[in-house]
Amino acid sequence: MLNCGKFQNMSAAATNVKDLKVSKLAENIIGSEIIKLAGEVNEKIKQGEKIYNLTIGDFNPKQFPIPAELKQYIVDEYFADQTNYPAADGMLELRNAVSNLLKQRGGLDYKNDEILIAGGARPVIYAIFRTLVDANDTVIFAVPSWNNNHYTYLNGAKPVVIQATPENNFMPRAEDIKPFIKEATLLALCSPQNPTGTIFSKEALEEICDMVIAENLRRGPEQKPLYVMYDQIYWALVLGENKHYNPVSLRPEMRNYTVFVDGISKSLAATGVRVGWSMGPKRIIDKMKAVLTHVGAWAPRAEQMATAKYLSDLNLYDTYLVTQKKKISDRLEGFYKGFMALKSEGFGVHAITPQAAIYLTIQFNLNGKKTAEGNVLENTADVTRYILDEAKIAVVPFYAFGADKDSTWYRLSVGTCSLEDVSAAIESLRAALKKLS
Amino acid sequence: MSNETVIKLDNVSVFQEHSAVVNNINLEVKKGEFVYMIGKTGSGKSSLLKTLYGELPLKQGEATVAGFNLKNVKRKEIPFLRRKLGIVFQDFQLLSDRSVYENLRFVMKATGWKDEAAIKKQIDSVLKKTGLENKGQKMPYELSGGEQQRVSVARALVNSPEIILADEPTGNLDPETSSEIMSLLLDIAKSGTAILFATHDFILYNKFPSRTLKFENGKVEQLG
Repeated sequence: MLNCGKFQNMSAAATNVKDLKVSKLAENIIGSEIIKLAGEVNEKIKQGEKIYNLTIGDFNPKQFPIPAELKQYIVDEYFADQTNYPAADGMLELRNAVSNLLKQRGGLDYKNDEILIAGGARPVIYAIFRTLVDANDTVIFAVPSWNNNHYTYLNGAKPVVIQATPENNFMPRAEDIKPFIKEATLLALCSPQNPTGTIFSKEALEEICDMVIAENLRRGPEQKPLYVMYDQIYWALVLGENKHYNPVSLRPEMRNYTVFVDGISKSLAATGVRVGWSMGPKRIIDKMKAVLTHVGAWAPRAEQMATAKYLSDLNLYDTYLVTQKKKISDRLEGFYKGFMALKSEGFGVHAITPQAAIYLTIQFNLNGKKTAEGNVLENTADVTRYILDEAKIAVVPFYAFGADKDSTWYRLSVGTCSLEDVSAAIESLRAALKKLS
Repeated sequence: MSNETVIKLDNVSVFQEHSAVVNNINLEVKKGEFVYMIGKTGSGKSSLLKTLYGELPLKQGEATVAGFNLKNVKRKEIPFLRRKLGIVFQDFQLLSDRSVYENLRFVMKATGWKDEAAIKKQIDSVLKKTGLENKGQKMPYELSGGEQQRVSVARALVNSPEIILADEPTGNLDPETSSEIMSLLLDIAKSGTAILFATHDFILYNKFPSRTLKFENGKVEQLG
């Protein structure tokens, strides 16, 4: 009782919890824009509504399970007591397996000491920024893109934001980047790209590489070079006839300036398993390892050993991906055809041909339309709400990925939907669009 | 207390995935009754609650909840079933980016309320009932745990439900605050709302005795 009274007095004297001072960095950090929308969507689902929730860049394990063998191996490794610290740069078995995977399937030659394992792609990105970028350095990235703004902020760097356009499948071009490269330290590229589901063409990526090589020749060895962070976490999910390209295979001179972001999160639908990796010049990989050692963002040891074992049989991997890509492609194509059909019926919607990953880029051109209740849809927020309320479809507006607040484009993710949901969602959308005048 | 039955279960079995966790539940709950559900984690309390609000399908037995026959309930009728129920969870699940008032308003809009004056009147009324008269403009992070749980009780009340299903609602609260939430729920029961209250907090259930269902070894036993 005495203690209780004492604590009560203390809390009365202390500052209100919400007013506690924290670092300037923490004070100004921005959470994910998607979370706000997700809260509303979840609340509606709780109220019992059937919502087609196409917001999440994740897989529903009921629709897209990880490989059964990988699941078994993970359990096996725990029973084999693989429960202590993993090696700081990742288990040698896994680094060897990744090296082999990259050689056999990725067209890349990286030795086991040029590979760093981490707990998914995010720690890899954090380590790349920490290793290459100083405070006030310039980082170039295009929007819409995923989280580059936050990593730039965490480093106290200066962002140069390029607005990518639908005419170029929302991929940045060399000519968009060129005006800013003289002062830049890092160019952040992602292909296949989140959130657009589109990829670099060979020519477009070659042009960017040539520009980076020329800039680094100009700088000479005394100056910090212009680096490229190449996020290819979705590279195994390139669909149909499309082909994935990377800077180092296209231009070997890029090897010294390129650091890759990669892993199994998307290729094996293993977002919660947390196994990612980076490959790059040994000196940079070593420094990234030092950075991550202090963060401790390793992939769990058992998951690393299990992934190594799984990747030792690339036939398993290939077979799994054939099925996986078919399932993704069926859904993306279904939505794409549905949107194009609605467009041809005269509704103000559009979509960009899906090329890769689990995303479709869609557009709602509905500003100025009037609802059945007589309310006018005045802006993107109104349109997003209408699509959620009437069509029961939840998608993420591109402004959540850094694009303009007025952008009429959205990311539709198919990772959590069933094939039956596709046609049902399109019908629901058609009914909602018909109610507009 | 009226004699009107709001929940009736005949030989209901509750399933998690494909295996039954509780078998042959027979239960009748009347308007304004307060009923504890006690039992260990995994004993099937939450799964029964989920079955009652249509999150898990009724695979075996007959069940009527707030006038809905769960055997025949269609997917599109679930939102209407949920409007007759208020659901309170252990984690408060408030939208963190908006005020208490806006949290309640969001749920009301989502459940078909259109008239803003009626919405305001109802929000004022439930905030008063839950002792939150002056907290409408507060953000969730400005509230204590007990106050946040009051907000989720207020949220459960906006559609004047016949039944409140509460799944470990005091699990995150200290004993004193738990007692306050209990008193609030008992008052709500007195005014005619039936309450099913899942908990493994025996202190609470000794302090506020009421009808109790004990979940153990795949069966439900009625105590007291």
